[in-house]
Amino acid sequence: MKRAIVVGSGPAGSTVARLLAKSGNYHVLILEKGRNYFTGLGGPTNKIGNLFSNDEIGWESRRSPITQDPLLEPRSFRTGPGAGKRTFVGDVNSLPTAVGGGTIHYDAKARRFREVDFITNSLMGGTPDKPAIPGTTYADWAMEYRHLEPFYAVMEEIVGVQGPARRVGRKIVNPNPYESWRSTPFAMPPGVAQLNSLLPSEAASRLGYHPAPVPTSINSRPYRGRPACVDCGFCLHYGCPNNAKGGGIWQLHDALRTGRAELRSEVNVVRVEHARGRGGRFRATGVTYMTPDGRTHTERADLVVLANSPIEAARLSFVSGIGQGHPNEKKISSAQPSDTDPSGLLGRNLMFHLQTTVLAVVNQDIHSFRGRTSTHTLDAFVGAGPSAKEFDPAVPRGGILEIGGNLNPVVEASEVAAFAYGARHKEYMQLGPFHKRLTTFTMQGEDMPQITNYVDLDPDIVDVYGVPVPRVSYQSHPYELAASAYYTPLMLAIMDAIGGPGSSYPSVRTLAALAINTTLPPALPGSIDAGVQQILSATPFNEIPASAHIMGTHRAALSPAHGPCDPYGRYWAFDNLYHAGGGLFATAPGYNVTLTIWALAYVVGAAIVSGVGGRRAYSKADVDRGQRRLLDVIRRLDGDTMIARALR
Amino acid sequence: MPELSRRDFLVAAMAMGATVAVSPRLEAAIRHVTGSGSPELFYFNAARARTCSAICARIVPSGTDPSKDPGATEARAVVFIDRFLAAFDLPAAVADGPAIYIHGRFSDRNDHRGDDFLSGRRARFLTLTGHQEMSWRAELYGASALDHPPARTFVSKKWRAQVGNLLPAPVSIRKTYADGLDAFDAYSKKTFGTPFASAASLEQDLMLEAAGNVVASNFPIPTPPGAPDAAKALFPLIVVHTFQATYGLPEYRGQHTDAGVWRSVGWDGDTQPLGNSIYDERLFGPGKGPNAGFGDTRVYQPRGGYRERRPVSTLGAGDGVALSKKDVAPLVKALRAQARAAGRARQRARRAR
Repeated sequence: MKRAIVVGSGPAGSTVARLLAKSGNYHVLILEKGRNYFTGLGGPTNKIGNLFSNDEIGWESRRSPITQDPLLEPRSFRTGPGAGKRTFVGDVNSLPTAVGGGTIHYDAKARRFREVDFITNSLMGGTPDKPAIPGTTYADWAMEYRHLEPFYAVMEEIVGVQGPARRVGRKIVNPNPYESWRSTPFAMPPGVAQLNSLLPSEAASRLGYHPAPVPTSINSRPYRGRPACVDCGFCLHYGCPNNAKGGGIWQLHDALRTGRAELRSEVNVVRVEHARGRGGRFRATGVTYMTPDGRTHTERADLVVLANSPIEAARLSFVSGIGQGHPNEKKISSAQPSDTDPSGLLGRNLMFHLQTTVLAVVNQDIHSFRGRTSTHTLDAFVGAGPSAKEFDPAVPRGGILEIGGNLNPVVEASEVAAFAYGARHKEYMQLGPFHKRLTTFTMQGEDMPQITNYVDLDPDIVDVYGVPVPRVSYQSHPYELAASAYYTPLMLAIMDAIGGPGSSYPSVRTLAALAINTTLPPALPGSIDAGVQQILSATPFNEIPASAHIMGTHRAALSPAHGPCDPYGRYWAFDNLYHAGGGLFATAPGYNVTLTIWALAYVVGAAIVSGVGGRRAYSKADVDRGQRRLLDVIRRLDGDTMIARALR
Repeated sequence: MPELSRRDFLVAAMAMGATVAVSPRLEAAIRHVTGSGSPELFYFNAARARTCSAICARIVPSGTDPSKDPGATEARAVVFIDRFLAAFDLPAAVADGPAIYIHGRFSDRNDHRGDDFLSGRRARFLTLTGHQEMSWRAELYGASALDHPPARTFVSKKWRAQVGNLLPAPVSIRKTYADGLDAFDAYSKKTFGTPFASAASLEQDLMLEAAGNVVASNFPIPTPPGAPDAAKALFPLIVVHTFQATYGLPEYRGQHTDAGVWRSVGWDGDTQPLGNSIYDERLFGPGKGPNAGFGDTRVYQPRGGYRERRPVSTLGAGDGVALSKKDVAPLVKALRAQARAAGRARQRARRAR
C-alpha cells in the first residue's frame, strides 16, 4: 500500500484524504497544525461530540479558540513593493487553525459557480495570453462547468447540502433562475427561513428580482445519521455544538473509519522533502513537521497533498525551496520560472472577494438573531448568465447578495457605543437596532486576478516555530471597485422597498438603509478586542481585505505558461506533489467558495486514485478524455449517491 | 484650559437641573460586591474594585428599579473583569482551569439535562495548549510571559527577539487595569477632592469623557483637563469588558442567570440544544432520532417537520412596537460619519501610493 500525506484537515484536505483512504490503495496520514475540538472522530458511530458552545464572549469577543494567533503566527501585508517591506504585521486573512479548518466557523453557504464563470475571459473576447480585462490575468478555467458538475453533485450529497431545487417527475425544478443546470436535486429541502432574509427577499421579488433559499451545507433534517439544525442563531464565527453544520469533519470521519487513515493534530509541517529524479523532474519524498515542543520528525511518503489554504500552501512550498519565496521585486509584473516551478507563478494571482455591505434597520422586532446567518441569497448581481447564450459583457460582474445577518448584543453594544453612552446607550440596546431589527446584504464581489497580488516570504519575520511568515502584497483592481459602486444603489433601493402597504409585511418598513465600510482592521496583537476600535470611534480604513474567501496562488492551467498547477492540482515539476483547495481557482466568481473547493478537491483525489494526469501540458480534449475515468471514481467509491446512479 | 473646581462643576451641573447624588442603592451594591474579605475577587483590591464597579455602573447604568431595568452592577461586571484578569489564578472551587473560553456544549437554560458550563460555583473552561496559554498569559501579564513558556512549549529565539521590534509587544492588561483604576482615583481626588467611586455620577461622566469617551458630550461645559494617560489607556478596554460582562454568558461571572439584562434587551441568550426551531423527533420514536437527548420531547409537535419554538420566519406577538426614523437618527449619523472617514482615509492611502 502506498503512503500519502495530506497537510491540512479543512474541506479540501478531508475530501482528498477520504477518497485516498476509500480507494484501498493508500494509507493516509493527515497532519493538522491546529487542535482537535471533536471527540469520537473515526469511531464506530456518528455520535461525534465537540467542545463548542453558544458563547459570544469566547467566540466573537475574545480571540476565538480556533483563530490563528496573530502574535505567535503573524503575517505581514503591504499594497506592493512600492510600499516598502510591509505596512502591517498581525492577522492578515488567516483561516481558522483547527481540525476541520474553515468549515468550523463558516455559515456553510454551498454555492456552485455557473457555466459562464469558467469561460468568462473568452466570452469577453480574451485569450490565454491576452486577458479581456486590462491590467489583470483574467483567464478561463482549465475545466468547465460540464466537467465539474458531477463533482459538485457528489459533494452536495457527501457533505449534505440543503437547497430548493427538487425533482418533479424526471425533471429538476430549480426556483433560482440564475443558476446553471443540475443533474440531481439537493440532498435536503431548505430549513426554516429567517424573517430578516424573507423581508428583503420579498421586496426584491416585487422589484422584479428572483431571490431564493440559499444552498447551505447545514442539515435541515437528520441526514446520514447526523443531527438536524435547530436554528440556534450562533452560526457564523461559531463552532456548531450539535454538529449540524456539514463540514470537513464528516469526511475525516469517513476516512478514519476505513482504518487506512490517521489524523495527527497539533503538528506543524515546516518542510516538504523532495528530490530530483529522472528526466529532471522532482519527487516529494515526505514532509518534516514540528511538534509543539519543538522537536522535528520526518515522515516518508509516496504522495504529498498540500491542502493548508492558498496562502499557507504557497508559504510551505517557498520554505521548502519550491518556487520563488523571494521574487525579484523589480520584475514582479512577470513570471519568474525556476526548476521547481516552471510557471514562475506560484503564489501569484492571489484573490479575495470584495465584500460590499448594505444594512437596513426596520421599525419592528424581526428577531434578526434567530436562525441561520442568512437563509436566502439573490444572484442577480453576479453578472450575466448562467449560460453563454445569456452572457453580456456589458453587465458588471459583482457577486451574490447574502441576505440576513445578525449581531449579538455584546458586539451590538460596541457598535452603539460609537454614538450613545450610559442611559441612552441602554435605551438603544433595548430597542435593539442590530440584534432585533437588522437585515443586511453582503455582496461577495468578484475580485480580478492580478500577477502583482501575491504571497511571498517576509524577508525578516518568523513565527514562534522560527519559520518565515507569509507576506501578502495586494491591492484592489478598479474593476471590482467599479462593480461595487455600480450595485450599491441597487442594493439600497431593495432595502428601501421592504414592507409597507401592498407587501406581505404591511406593518414593517425600513427606517434607515446604508452602505457601510466593512474593511475593518484586523485585531492587533496586544489588543484582544476588535470592539475597542468602535469605542474609540477610530475605525482606520486599511486596504487589507476582510473576506476569508482566499483564492489563487496555485492556478490550475492547461500548460505551465499559465499557472503553477496542472488541471488536477499537480505541481508541474513534480510527479507526486499536489495542491487541493481555493488556490487552484483561475478567477474569483462572486459566490462563496467552499463547495467549489470541495468539488475541485474531489477532482484532485479522483485524479490521483485513477491515475489521470501527469502530462507536461494538456489540450481541452485531454481534459475531456480524463473525465471518464474521474467519473468512474464517483461510481466506484460513492456508488450510493444520486449522481452515481445518474451516471450509470 | 483652567482646572475645573468641584464647586464650579456643581454650579454648572445644578444650572443644568441635574441630579448629582450617588444613588444609595448603587453604593450598597458596590459594597456588596467589594466588601472587605469578599471571596469573590481574585485580582482587585477593595479600592480598585470600588473604582472599577463605579466605572462599569456609568457605562451600563441601572434603572430606578434595577429588578426591571438592571445594569452592569446587577450583572456583576467587576466580578467578570476580575476573573478575566485572574484567569490563571482562580482557585479550583471557582474554575477548573484558565478562565478564557467556557467549556462546551450546553447550559441548562434550554432544557438540557445538566449544565456543561457551571456546576455550583465551579465553572468549566477549555484547556489551553501550551502556545495558547503562553499567548493569553502575555496578554494578561505582558511580554515577559513569553520568556517563561509552559513546559514542552517551543519558542524560537529569533521570534522572541523580534517581539517588541518587528512585532508589537503585548501590553499587560492586568497592569493597564491596575494603573488605570489608580489613575482614575487620583484624578478624581485631584479634580473633585473625592475618590472616583464616591464622586457624583455627572462628575464621573466628566472624567470618563476626559479619558476618551467621545460620545458622552452632553455637557455644555468644558471637560476637566489633564486626564492621566493610564486612565485613557484603560477606558476602551473597560467599556468593552463591561459590555461582555453585562450582555454575555453569565457563567463568566460565576452566575447561572443573567440578572435580568437579557430579558430587558430582548435577548434569548444561548439557545442550544433546543434552538429556535426543532425537527420532530417523533418520526423516529422517542429517544431514537439523531437529535435524541438534545431536548425535551414535550416541545415536539406530532406531525413531523419543523416547529418554530420562537418566531424565526413569522412576526411574533409583541413585535408591533414600532420605531420611527427619529429613533435611529443618531445611529444613521454615526454610520455615515464612519463611512465618510473611511472614504477620506482610502483617498489619502491612494494619494500616498
